Amino acid sequence: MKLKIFTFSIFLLISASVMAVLSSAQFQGYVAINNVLKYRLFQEDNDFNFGKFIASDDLGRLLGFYSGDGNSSGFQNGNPNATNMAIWSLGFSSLGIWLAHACDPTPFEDKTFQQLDPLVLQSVRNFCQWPSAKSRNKKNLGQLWDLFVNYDAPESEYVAWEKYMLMNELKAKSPEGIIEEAVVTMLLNPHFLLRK
Amino acid sequence: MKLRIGLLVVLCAACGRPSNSLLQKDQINISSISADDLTSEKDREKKEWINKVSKVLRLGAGLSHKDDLQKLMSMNREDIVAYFMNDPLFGESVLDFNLYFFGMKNGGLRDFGGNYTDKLGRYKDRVFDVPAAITAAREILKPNGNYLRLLDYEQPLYLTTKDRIFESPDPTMTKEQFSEFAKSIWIQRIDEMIALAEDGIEKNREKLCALIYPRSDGPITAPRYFGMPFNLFSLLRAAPKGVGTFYFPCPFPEYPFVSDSLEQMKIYRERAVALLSLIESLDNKIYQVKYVTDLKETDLKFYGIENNSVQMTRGLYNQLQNSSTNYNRRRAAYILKRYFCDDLTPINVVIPDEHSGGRHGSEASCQACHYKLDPMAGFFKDLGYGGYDFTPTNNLIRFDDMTVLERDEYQKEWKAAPASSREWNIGYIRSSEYESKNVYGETMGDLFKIIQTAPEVKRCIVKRSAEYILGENQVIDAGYLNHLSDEFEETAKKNSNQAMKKIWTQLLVSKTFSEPDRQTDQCYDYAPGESPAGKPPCRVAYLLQKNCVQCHGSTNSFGRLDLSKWIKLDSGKMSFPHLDKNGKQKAQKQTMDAILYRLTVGNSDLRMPLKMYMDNGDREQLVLWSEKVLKGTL
Repeated sequence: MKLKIFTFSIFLLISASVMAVLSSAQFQGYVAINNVLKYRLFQEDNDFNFGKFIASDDLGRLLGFYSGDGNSSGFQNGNPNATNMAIWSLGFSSLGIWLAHACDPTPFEDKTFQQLDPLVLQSVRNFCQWPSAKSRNKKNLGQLWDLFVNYDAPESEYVAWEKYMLMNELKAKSPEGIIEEAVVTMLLNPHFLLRK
Repeated sequence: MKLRIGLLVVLCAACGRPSNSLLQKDQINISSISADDLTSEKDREKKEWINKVSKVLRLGAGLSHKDDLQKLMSMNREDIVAYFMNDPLFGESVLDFNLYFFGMKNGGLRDFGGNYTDKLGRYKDRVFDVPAAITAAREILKPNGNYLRLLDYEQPLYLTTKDRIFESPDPTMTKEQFSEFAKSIWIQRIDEMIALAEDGIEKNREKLCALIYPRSDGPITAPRYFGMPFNLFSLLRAAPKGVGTFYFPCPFPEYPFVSDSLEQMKIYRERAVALLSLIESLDNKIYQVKYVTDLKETDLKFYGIENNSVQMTRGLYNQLQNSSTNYNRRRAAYILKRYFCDDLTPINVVIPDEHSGGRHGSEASCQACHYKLDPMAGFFKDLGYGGYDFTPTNNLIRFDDMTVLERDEYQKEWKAAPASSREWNIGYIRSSEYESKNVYGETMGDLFKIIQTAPEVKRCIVKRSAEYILGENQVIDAGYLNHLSDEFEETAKKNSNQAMKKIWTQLLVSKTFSEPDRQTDQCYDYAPGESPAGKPPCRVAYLLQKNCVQCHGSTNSFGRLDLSKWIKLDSGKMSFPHLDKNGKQKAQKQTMDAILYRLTVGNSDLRMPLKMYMDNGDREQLVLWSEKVLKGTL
């Protein structure tokens, strides 16, 4: 936990300095990302709401959202900054931890969890034996990426991510830890988050 | 964990332009990837394009493993767009776009969680405030639908679910308990009123007022969330003008007292019972709203209400409040901005004095907007607070700031000059100089007839479509946009659904949309036969061609100014070929200053285009662009 806090402290400090070099690219926004995850990861007619993973829908307004009252309207809070990057990261981290319940010995009693697409559930379960070779392989990683990111990012992004996930340093992670790691690092990809 | 830091740093640095180079910088060697590992670039590009199209046409739902990608890859791009347009989610995307068009897009379409447990989620209240957005989204999915019902004044009343109507403000009560309690209160209250009226209306006026204008239990008796532009008691107190009007002179004295109130109360009791029965049918156990096509609609005439479900709902009027000093200008600005894409950007165009009429806005800089804003505001002259029609009242009108004015006095603002052939100076004003370009009217019905026929409105739909699909900050060649607008208008004469789908298809297969790494300040698409080579920047090239090049097409023509070309000067700056009397090229500042002056000068003997009409939007674009060139901020 201390490490995580340290990571974010560093991240916030660094991100402040790199903001200056950011171009005008904006987030797709909370609603867009929510809709993509809702459609890709769950069965039809699910009640998934990313707001659950960032404490509330209202906080989603910090992640880029449309606001209009007739006369004035526009996309607000769309520029990446330290605060919204932290919220995205924490949200994806919570989502990853929640998905890691796929490795629970008994079924996870959560209505939304039970609405997960069976293929998604299986692809997450593939990591329950990490770091054994049965879990830690390109096939499993490729499947997870296809289900989550699909064609939102170029193939080179996958290649980079796969290399990262197969680094020796991550071998020490628990199955739950690696699922969280995979979800966070996949979904924090700028190609996934930003408007193109 | 160090790795996480590295990754986040890369992410953050890459926010603007994620690229391989950044990854390489982070020592991830991409060059070692075998070519066999990568699918062909062309195929990959098409798949990424399909994913983007899917997001636009299926409300953000990108491609997933549930889609038959192989089948999609075998189709041509137009067919792929058509395929996604057949998905019921396309209706949701169009609903989202329609809300965007009306400036009422606010987050997502639905609410999830909280008190609301249905897994389908529930359309937000805001959606019901704009029934035209719903109507057009439903129409687009019909084989012979008419998308342009988007512009109809009269709209159906769409109904939300029962649990929203009876959302309990009391956490100790379940939805069911609250529903029963609220219903009994409604009927009980009307019965009480009938009893009091039978006993004598005058005698019990105060008690009746307290019942009809309840203050303390608003959440119970004001189920605004019916999706209606009114609440139950609005049915009783804000009936339309004409027979059976039941206006109670409290707490607002401007309403006349109607002697047949008792009979009316009995009728309203019947209506309330019918309404409650209707609400029962909205129980979300049986009323499942998965798509916009599942929404129920009802005819208000059944409840004795006429013309109450229209484009401009109470919910919308709540956003467009009108004070006693605002003279409906906020509402007029909404109409101009949303239907005509006229943002009323002040560009300091000076309008001749004779058009100011001594009203607010007589300052030259104010007139730049007010000459069109004020006549547009006149369409709302009878509507007071909340958009309520005050024509049945005793010559009074109440505003959202609760001020009351004499209606006749107030409406003098829009009386036409005695010499005029019109009674009112109300209309859509295109030009203060060329009256024949303007369209006049009087009522809200007239306004929407103008909206339905004005070419500017159809162009506005195309413009907003381009913004919605390509991005608001993407520069689009005005000639290309004009070409799309012409096609839309032409096709819409026969079939507006087809017109809308055709324009969206063209935008989705456009180079702009297909470009994987596009620059927002660059144009990618042009009208057929047009080439950008050597021309002024795409933002203005077409506008100059349309309005100016006829007289300023070469340095041998008027003013030795050629507005058809854009050249690099010796100073390194870009400008138009513009020669002085010695044949020497003028500096950029000289040229642009002259252009700006001639575009904005009040004297019609000097203002360009000379003695000719130019669309306000075109002038605005040219002025704003010229200012940017001068400031070097392009």
